[in-house]
Amino acid sequence: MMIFIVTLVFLYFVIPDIISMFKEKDYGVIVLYLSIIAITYTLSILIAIDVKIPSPQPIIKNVITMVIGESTTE
Amino acid sequence: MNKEIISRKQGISIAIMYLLGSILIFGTTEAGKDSWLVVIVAAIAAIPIIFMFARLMNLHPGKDFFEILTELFGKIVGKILIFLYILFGIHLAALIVNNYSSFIITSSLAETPKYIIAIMLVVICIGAAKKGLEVIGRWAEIAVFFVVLSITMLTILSLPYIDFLNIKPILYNGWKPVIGASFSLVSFQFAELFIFIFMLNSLKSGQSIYKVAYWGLGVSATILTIVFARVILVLGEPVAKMYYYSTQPSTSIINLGEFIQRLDIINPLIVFLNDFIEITICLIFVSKGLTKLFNIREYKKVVAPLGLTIFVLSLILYSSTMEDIAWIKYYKYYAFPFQFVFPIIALIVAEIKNLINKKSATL
Repeated sequence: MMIFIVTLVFLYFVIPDIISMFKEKDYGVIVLYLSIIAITYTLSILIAIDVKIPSPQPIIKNVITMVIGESTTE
Repeated sequence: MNKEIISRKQGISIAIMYLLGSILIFGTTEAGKDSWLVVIVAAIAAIPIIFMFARLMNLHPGKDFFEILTELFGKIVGKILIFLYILFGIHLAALIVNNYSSFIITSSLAETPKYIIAIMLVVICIGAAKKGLEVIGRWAEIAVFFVVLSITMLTILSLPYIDFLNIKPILYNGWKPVIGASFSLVSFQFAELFIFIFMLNSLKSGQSIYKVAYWGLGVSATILTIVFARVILVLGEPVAKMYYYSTQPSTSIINLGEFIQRLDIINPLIVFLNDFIEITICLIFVSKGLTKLFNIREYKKVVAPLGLTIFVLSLILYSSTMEDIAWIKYYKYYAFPFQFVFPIIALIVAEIKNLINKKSATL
């Protein structure tokens, strides 16, 4: 169900945007746009099929703990 | 690119709703019954911080934050900073989406999958961001009345349930927990206003950025103080601490004449309106950043992919509400460079450049 809803939402935004960018011949923006869409769509499909995507939070927490020290974050 | 213009009133409305944001759902801080005092201290502490952001914008009239960064630090360092702020903005927006989704699932729609709530919120925010800041400003002018009126009504209806003994003794544990919680509140909520202030090059000419920022801070701090005080006065500290989102039980308790009841439904609506503004402003902020990074003419072209990125990130951030709450103590350290370090350095450089320009103009 999530795959269906997410695909619908992506298509809802991507199709009109791509058409208008093609009309304006904004090819550089199209490449950037589709690159971001490809990554986010792939990630959302992976989430939909219950693949665990690592969160960036533990990395940020580790960096903070390394810089500030453990006692400060308690 | 057409320049978007908002009036001072619209700017203040956006600032109020932006600052109220998702902090309303928590209702208390780690200072317990002194949480209302935390808001006052945090608002006072935020005054010089907001002055710093507004001063930086004032020194560069007509320019947004990203243009200022490249002007002050050069192309390479400026673009690196822009990239970091884009990541920060996306992360912040994803946190807000995640908070809201968790709140809705915990308080009312327990069986609804998180992605449904997240995607509905993000789709609306993308639609609004594509319309632009002017439309959001006009909408906020009306919506802020509903938010303020609703909170006022809930507070008045809570009066029969208030017990002033719940708030005493004031400062029983001293100032330390209040100061600690204030630092968190400043970084978690009030200092986040920098994202909106850094877009106030859209303000009508002649209007003061300081007035927009300080009116927004003043009104939202007053409302938050009242809400936090209400939660403690109605529930008491032991009961309030039992809930992650203690604003909900403090309003669900209202039952007047068996007729006025179940008013806790208003809280998710108020939070939705505030979070919608906050996420949309963040989305416009990161979209503008990306356009500066890649020399794109119109930021509205990249709103959709960035909005969908925020949606996906919000699903992977935490696996539980407890992780969400645990993150709060790290957030103030994580946000510190973005809210204080980089803006202070930028302001110092800007002031020096301004002084040099003034001296060379007089010579």
